Amino acid sequence: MNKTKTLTIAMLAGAVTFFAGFMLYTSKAELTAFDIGVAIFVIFIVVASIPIIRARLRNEKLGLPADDELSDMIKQKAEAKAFGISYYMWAFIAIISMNMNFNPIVPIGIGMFAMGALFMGFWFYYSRNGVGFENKD
Amino acid sequence: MRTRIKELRARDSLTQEDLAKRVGVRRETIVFLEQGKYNPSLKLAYDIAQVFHVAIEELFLFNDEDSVSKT
Repeated sequence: MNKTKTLTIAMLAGAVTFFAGFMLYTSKAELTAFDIGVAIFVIFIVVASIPIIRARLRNEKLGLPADDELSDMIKQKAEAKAFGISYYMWAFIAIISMNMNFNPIVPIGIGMFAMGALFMGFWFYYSRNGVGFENKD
Repeated sequence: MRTRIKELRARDSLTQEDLAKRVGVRRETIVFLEQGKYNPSLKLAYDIAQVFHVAIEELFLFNDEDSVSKT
């Protein structure tokens, strides 16, 4: 079950990279700075997920679970932090968008990617530093 | 709060991986517990105490400021 989940994550990451690369390669339009930014972000996510997938596979090979109560807590805390901060980010994006004549998809896309980046940043932070005594009360 | 997991592991000649297998968590979780970076659930604390045949309060040592009563 866990191995299936890990392989699904790896395949999903590979598929996202492949389709992003394919779309950029076949695109007739000239690439904008936004397109290049999205491509860099996708590559960053895939590269960052490699050590996570390796750690999961290593644990599974040793007969250990890939997920446990600590990994769940780290994920929940990273999600909660990213969600809270994204309120301010969306407000900022809304103010900027009102004053500039953007295609609506651009601020929405930036916001979605930024939320993903916030989650990943917090996930890495808590994965390295632990969640301390969060559940002491 | 500090733990005696590392000390008891050495006493019983268990590796972090062995202990992780016995209590059903990842090895990283044992590392974090030993470093005091994670406060485990009561269930996990109980399972680890069972492995070492000690009471939970012998495994996790609380400072006075950790156990301030809120009554």
